Amino acid sequence: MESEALTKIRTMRQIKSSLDVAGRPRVKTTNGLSKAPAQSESADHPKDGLTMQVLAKEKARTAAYENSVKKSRQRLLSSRDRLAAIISRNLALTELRHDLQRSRYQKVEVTCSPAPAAQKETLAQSGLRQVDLEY
Amino acid sequence: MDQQSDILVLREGDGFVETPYIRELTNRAVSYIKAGFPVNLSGPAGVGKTTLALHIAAQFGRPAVLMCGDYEHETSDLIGGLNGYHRKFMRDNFIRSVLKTDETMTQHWADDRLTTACQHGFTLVYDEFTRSRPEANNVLLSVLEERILILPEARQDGSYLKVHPDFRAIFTSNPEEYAGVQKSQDALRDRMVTIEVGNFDEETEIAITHNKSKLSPETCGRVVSLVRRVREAKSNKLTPTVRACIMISKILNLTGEAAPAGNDAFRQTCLDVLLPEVPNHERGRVRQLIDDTIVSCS
Repeated sequence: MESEALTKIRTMRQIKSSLDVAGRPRVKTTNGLSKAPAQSESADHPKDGLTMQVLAKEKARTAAYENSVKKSRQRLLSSRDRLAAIISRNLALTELRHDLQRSRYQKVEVTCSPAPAAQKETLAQSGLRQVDLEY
Repeated sequence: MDQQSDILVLREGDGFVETPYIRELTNRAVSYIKAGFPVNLSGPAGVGKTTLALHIAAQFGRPAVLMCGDYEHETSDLIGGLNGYHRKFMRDNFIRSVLKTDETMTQHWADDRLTTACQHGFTLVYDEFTRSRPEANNVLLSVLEERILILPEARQDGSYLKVHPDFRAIFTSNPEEYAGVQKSQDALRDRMVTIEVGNFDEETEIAITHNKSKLSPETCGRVVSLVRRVREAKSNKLTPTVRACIMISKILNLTGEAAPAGNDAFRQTCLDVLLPEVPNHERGRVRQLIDDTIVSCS
């Protein structure tokens, strides 16, 4: 006697979802088996020139967009560095100011290095070529 | 502006002689320049004006810029001019449907020696400035008096340049009767102090000849004495100069002669160097003088 167990019931485990199907070679359906090869070609592999052109342009546009995003990220990082340098310089100046004020009130000597003297443009920096002349 | 002149760093050579006469001349010129007045060394050819000018310029310890007068010169040969151009073309098609192009062309200005000297405070040595046409030297009038250099509007860095406080000028010139010499502007000569430089004294000429030719001082003395006698015998007492003494001595040193009497090679050398400057009607007398001097020097 044939078994009456429900062995042919397909549960959700057996049914593949679209996520399972995606990325795997396409499943051939009954209808697809009888189709001609040209008909069964999907949009993933276009052969006509116009579509290729459009795709190439889109790729170029995406690449340009990514480049500009990268550039603006670099600019952001460099401006952050500059800002950090300004902040640390201001902190150092504030600290020095506090030291000087303290020294004034408490009459304590505070040594600090003088500002560097302005350098005169040397002949080498002016970019002029020198020729030795013996008279 | 991306092209500038070269500059000279002056050094005293081994052949330079500084006798008391030259030292006095140098000190006088330096004092005039320190007082704020350019100096013009005027004299005949071959007396050492250019060497003296370079020596005076070297006293200030600053680099120098040397220019030579030329009839073809214009103002642009002194101050500079437009030299070449730069073209920039931009094509913007970032947005597919929008095409933007931008083309610009700019001409380059190149400074010349006078502008470089005025800008950086170098010493300008303008040799034979009267050989340039007077209108080419017009630009010097405001430089020497108002201490401002007027440049064309085409110069991108400004058309008025304040002359550097360390800028100094030394000129040299020949007398106006010389061939190729233009009459200089009264306004320009009025702004400078002219020092007449003539032939040196005998001691200086012997020292210079000995230094340049490396001959013995005695032989140099005989050569200088001969040249001075020829100079005295001529109606034009400007030539021959110390240059003739150096020429004769160097040739003697090269050929190994010692200027004895009866030496035909020495006699011929003297005739070749000294006689071309003598007018035809005086040549016989000068030739006889050379022969007598060679005999008397033996």
